[in-house]
Amino acid sequence: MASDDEPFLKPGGRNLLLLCLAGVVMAFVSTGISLAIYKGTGDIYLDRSRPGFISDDETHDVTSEVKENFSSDGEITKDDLDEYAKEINEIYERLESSKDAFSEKALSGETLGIDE
Amino acid sequence: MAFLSVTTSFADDETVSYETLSDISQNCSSIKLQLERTQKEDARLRVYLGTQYETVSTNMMQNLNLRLVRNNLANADLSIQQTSFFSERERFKADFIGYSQEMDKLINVDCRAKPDKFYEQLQLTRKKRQDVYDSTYRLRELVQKHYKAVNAYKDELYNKPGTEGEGQ
Repeated sequence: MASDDEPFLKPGGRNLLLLCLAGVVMAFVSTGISLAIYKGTGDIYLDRSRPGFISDDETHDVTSEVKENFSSDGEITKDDLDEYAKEINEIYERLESSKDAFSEKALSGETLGIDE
Repeated sequence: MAFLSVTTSFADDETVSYETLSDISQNCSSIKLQLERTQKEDARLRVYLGTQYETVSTNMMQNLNLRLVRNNLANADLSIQQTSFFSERERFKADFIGYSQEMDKLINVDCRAKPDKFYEQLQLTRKKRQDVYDSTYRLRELVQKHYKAVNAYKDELYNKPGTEGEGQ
């Protein structure tokens, strides 16, 4: 059995423990800083992979319509420009069908049940 | 408490009645639920619209201009439209972030205990939401303008007298 005078940890063991503690503290600090930057820059609001944001299924639903991709290579003909205009018009139609997005209605007194 | 007065004034001379503050305080739980639903729907809309804008900017406008340049048919108007659309798309992102930050603050205000503070934050969030709405309007207008410009350029290239069928 160790006597009362004997230190709990040898110098090497104590240093190892301090190193471990310093590592844990540094990990917490750097994670805290990273999260502060993540939120401060607003990336948190654009990150689709954020837990509780929108599910993969919902992401697939809202992005599955998009198929337009005009090639940047090759000659350019009247038919190419016709096709391009047609695809741009399809996107415009989709945007037009979402024209009420971010309208004032969602935060109106009527929606929130506030008599203003 | 602040809402016991008949009206409460805010910095920009807006006033709110006792009835409004009373509604906020009494319906606090349902208001919070509604705001959380709106926040979720906004996130879905942002992904949807963001995908459409990304497609227009990267898959369409950028590629069209590259292809026109490679064929020595570069068009200054179409290039300017690409730049304008890109800038407006960045503005949409920034506006959405600003709005989302205010929305987060709004949801975190204790509307039962501080309805006046909640109402003040609600007004600010509404303004930020309007910015996002205006941005979606401008982006839609730019797409429509681009559609017209492409058709006009196509007519200029292929419907000029003596160029019938050229390039096909």
